Amino acid sequence: MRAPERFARRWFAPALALAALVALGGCAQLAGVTGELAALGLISEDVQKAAEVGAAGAEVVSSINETFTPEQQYYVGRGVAATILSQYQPYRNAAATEYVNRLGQALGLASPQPFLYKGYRFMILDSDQINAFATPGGHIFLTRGMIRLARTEDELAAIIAHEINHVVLQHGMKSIKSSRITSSVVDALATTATALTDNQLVELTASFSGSVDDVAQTLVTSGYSRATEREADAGAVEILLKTGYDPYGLVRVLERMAEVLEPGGLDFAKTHPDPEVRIRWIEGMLADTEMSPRVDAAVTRRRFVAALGGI
Amino acid sequence: MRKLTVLLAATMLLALTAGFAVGLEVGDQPAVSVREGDVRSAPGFLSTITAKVAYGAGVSILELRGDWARVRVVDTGAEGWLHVSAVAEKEALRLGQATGSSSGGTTSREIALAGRGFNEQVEAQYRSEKGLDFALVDQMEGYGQPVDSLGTFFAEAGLSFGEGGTE
Repeated sequence: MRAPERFARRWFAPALALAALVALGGCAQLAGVTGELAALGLISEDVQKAAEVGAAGAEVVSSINETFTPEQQYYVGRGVAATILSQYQPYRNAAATEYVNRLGQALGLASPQPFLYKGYRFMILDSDQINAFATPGGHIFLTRGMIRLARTEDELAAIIAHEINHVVLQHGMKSIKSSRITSSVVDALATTATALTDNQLVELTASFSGSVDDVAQTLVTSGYSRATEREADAGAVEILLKTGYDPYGLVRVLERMAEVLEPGGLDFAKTHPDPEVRIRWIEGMLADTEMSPRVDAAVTRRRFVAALGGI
Repeated sequence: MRKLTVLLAATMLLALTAGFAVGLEVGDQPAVSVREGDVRSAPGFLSTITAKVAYGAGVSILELRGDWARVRVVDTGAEGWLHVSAVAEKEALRLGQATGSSSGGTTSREIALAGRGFNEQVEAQYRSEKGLDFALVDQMEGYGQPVDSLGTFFAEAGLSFGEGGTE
């Protein structure tokens, strides 16, 4: 982030998109709109793709962070959390909730993204389904059914570390369709007026609502790609190794999941790769890894049973 | 004209790719990217918190040690250690750069943009349109545990945060 780089990042990316579009379409008006868009860091994937092609097929690295601020990602996360909580009831057990938050927040500090806009927060959902959801804002939900699969703290840590990595790797945000950021949304963002007009508020809200739906739909119904889940598993293994938990906890909990998941079920069976497939790639990741779990099993057993024994 | 723009685009692309070697350096002036950043007396999650900094506050990087940066808060002059994941380049927060003649009229506009987009106002509109209840989300966000309790939770079981270079 030396000064010239900062200059390059800030000015050349938008200018490139603009120049490439002029080159492509020769349409000043279009380029103007795109320039606005680019100047705001709101270049849609389609526009970026066009820009890439325009620039002799070269690849332009795009990232969620260039489109959404941390604060905006947090608000999308809140919307997703509210959507999930319109379909599930919380499991009201203070000791269990505190335990899961201690474990999860400690694991969050050991992740590559220890600090989020408002941190990692965990809630247990009162459902027998085997499911877990992580919003872009760091709200992580675990069903009672999912927690029951874990028989040790290492195993629960593995489940949570996997979800934390969906947040760290911004998987939720990546499922937002580029069409959600329309030119009128860009206009609403570009106004210099101190307050949004009613129309602008409506446009922004529609875009927000669509973005929340895209993420919630992915979490609850369609699931991530295999590659994405594999990435989250790899990140989970890293966290387990780093903290001193037994990374084979992830394998053991997946073995149990494989026994109980019903094909065609509406839970993890629908949104996640076959546990057997995940076990194979995790064992591959661990094959050449030196590990010496430092975890004191007597301590973790005692607190795990005290908090979650009755779940 | 067309050839020229293509050439221009190619030149810009070179500059752009060069600009992707990201990473903080001493002298950088990023901004706080979390709602409330904790400035600490020493690098490490369990060090004493000496100051709080709000989202968007500018900081100067004075020193780097692993994933921790010793910073000076531009507005208050407070100094201490912040984790690098709690800061981001100002442009990632749509904050204007205070310096640089090339910014022209854009800086004021970008400052006006800060906080725009998906925010409280949009959430309130969304909530009323969808009839969604955010009370449980607020409740969940209140589940934050004191960082000391997280340190104890790990330490009593022989676990650690694995902080690079600070242990």
